Amino acid sequence: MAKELPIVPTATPGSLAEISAASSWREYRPEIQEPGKVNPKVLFFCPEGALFHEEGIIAVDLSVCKGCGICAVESDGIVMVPEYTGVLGIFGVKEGSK
Amino acid sequence: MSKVLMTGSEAAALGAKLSKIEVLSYYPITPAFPAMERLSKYIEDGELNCKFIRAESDHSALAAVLGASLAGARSYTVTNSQGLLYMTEVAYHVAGLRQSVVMGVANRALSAPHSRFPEHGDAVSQGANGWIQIFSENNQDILDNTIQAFRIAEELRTPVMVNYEGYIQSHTQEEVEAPSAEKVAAFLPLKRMPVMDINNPQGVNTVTSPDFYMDYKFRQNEALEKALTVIPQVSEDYKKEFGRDSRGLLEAYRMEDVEHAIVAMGSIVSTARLLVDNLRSQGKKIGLVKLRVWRPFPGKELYENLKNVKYVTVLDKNIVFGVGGALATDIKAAFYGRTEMVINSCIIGLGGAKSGVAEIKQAVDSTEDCSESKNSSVWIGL
Repeated sequence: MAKELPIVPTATPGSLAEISAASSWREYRPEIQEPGKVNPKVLFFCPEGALFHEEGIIAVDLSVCKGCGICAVESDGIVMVPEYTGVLGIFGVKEGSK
Repeated sequence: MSKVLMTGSEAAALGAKLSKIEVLSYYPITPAFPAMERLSKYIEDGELNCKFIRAESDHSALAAVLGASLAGARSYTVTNSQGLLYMTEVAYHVAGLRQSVVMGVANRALSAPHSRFPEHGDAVSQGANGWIQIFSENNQDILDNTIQAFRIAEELRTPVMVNYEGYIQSHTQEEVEAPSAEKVAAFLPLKRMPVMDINNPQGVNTVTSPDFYMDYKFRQNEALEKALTVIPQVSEDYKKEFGRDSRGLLEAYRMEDVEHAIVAMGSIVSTARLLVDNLRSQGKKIGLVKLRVWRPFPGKELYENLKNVKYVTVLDKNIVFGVGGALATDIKAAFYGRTEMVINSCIIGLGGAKSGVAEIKQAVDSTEDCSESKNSSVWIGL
């Protein structure tokens, strides 16, 4: 059975996809859920340079991030969450399920 | 309802005007241009309240129409041949973004070698792009199909191409019954479905992961399949309102007790009718199926009309290189395993090559001569 989706593939405000042209590419965005578990070496894996140090904590510049998900694969503590909601909700996908 | 002498281009333009299009964009190309000239005159004369965007290319013209449609405007364009090929990338966007755009296509042969003459190669090249494709037999069809196309497109949120042939139809006058603007307005209430809103901005066509891409495509295909039901309903409603029967997906002409059927779409249908009448008067059991809708392909409905015939002559004014005629190929696929009939793909009328009664008779004869090989393909008029 096909998933219930918005008829027109869109990204709505509040989804962060409106921040910049780069971020409009994203389907998912990285969310640092457990900062203490993030491996600092993950900085070297981001192809866009979207990860940075901020007072000893790894953070994400979402205006640059394209949502490739490499960081979430390479480090604990980072989870990819659905970027946008469309008109019917988050596609029935629970946040953090990917 | 008044009858007016008009060209196919004028019929297309009148259909768009009566449908109260709000935005059109265009890049000049022959033979589609007279429809746009006429629409531009309607605007200049104050008969049509519509924004005309002069584009720098066919690609941009369809992109402008797509943007207008996303903003909620009823949008229209026309093109043909190389212009349609140049629009191809945007055509996929329009269909994937489920926009109710209607486009008239004055079918013309594709280059190279360069040709300005009619055939269906341009339309056939777009057979997988997700647009509904309707073919017109005459200028009355062009007008009726254009009006119905907007209703079909808006109901299914799927774009529609209304095909009519370059010169044979675009530049040739015929009597056309023109419905009143009031009645068309009642038949075609504007369903505004804006996606873009300046007060509520959102990204459109953002990157879609493999988790969802197939689901979007499934829904898109579902709409095309639904069109097989919606198009006959719209045709029936049109008949009730205006008294003319567009025959839904196809028309069976003199198909009672036939052994041999011709299947065709576009202007060649009228010529085939003449041949059928002629051969019927000589006692030959032959009939004709006019295919009005090519995409989605009404395979089941065609089979119901053809299942008892011995021979099928398919008149294909196109060639899919290395395969054969597109229409015949679709019919063979739809009938696979269900029939013993001869299905003969007749490539005819490419690049404006003569496709009169004599050529169609030659095609019919070739079908009955080729019963040894049941999936044959012949070129007529070389």
